[in-house]
Amino acid sequence: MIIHDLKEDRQNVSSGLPIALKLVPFAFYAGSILAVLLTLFFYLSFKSYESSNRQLKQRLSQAEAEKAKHTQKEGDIINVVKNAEGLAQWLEGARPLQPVTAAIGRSMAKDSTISELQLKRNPEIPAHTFMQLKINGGGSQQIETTLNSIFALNYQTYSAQQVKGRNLTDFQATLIYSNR
Amino acid sequence: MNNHKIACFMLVVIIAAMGYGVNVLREKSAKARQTADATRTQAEAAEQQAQVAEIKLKSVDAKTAELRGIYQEWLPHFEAFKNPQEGERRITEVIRDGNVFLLSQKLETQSVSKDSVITRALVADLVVEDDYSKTMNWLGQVEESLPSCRISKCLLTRGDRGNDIHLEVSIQVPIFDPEKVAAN
Repeated sequence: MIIHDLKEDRQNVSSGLPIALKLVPFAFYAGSILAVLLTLFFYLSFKSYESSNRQLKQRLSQAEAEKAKHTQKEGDIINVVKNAEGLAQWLEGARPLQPVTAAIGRSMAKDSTISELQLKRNPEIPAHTFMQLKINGGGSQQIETTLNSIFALNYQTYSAQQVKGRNLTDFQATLIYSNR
Repeated sequence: MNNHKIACFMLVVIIAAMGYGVNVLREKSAKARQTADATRTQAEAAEQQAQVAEIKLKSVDAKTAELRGIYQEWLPHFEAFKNPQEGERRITEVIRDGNVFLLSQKLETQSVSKDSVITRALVADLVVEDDYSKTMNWLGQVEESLPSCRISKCLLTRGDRGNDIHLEVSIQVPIFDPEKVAAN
């Protein structure tokens, strides 16, 4: 007896797949290939963006550091300038007065003498100096000569007043230095 | 459901899982791109701001160079008087060196301005009577040896003797406050 004779025909366990499902394995292969390619593409893109992000962050921090450095330097300069303006303001009202007194003294003619010379800085604007000059003899001519010697020192006179007495001339003016 | 159908179902699940994975990676990549774009915008803006700051710095530097030069030149003269005692000592030296006849002297510290770098000054009210040229030379020496000083008042009248003059002078010596300068 042949063994085949003992074995009965086996019934089909499953029936054939519908046509739609037959495409599934092809879709799987195609999908797998596509997935690998896309994964590679997106992974490389991700790495590239990450790398450029790192570089850009470095650029950003460098630029910010540079800006902070410039701002700091500018702040330092502004502070120095503030101090410099303070000193310059002081110095503007600290121009030597001795040359003025000496020039006035030298301008006196033989027949004129200084009775009184007062130079007083304006407390509000120290660069403005109030001058009161009392001269014995000489009159207007002497005042003119004296003013010329003051002008030679680059001072200008403002609010000038002159009162003439019998032998005394009282001259008042505000002296302002001008950078010519 | 037979085995083939189960296998198909599993393949479909695997395809969906691969699609999901790829999509996750795509989103991650897109997010990284957005972040990089945002960082690029920030970096470019920061670089532009840095350039503007540099231009501004150069401009301020150039505009204030002369003033700062003068400041550096004058600063030692102001720094010489950090307290009233130093000013008093210097004025006493100038009087002694000038050898003028001093009738009276009054020294006091006064506040000058709260806003400025110079907040206080030593005010010396001096009355001198001596020979005209000697007194005038002395006044010049005062201003020369105390370059930062300010003569706020000067009254010249005739002296008691022939060639003498009577000089009343008020000298302000600025007291430099390093803390005030550092605070600015």
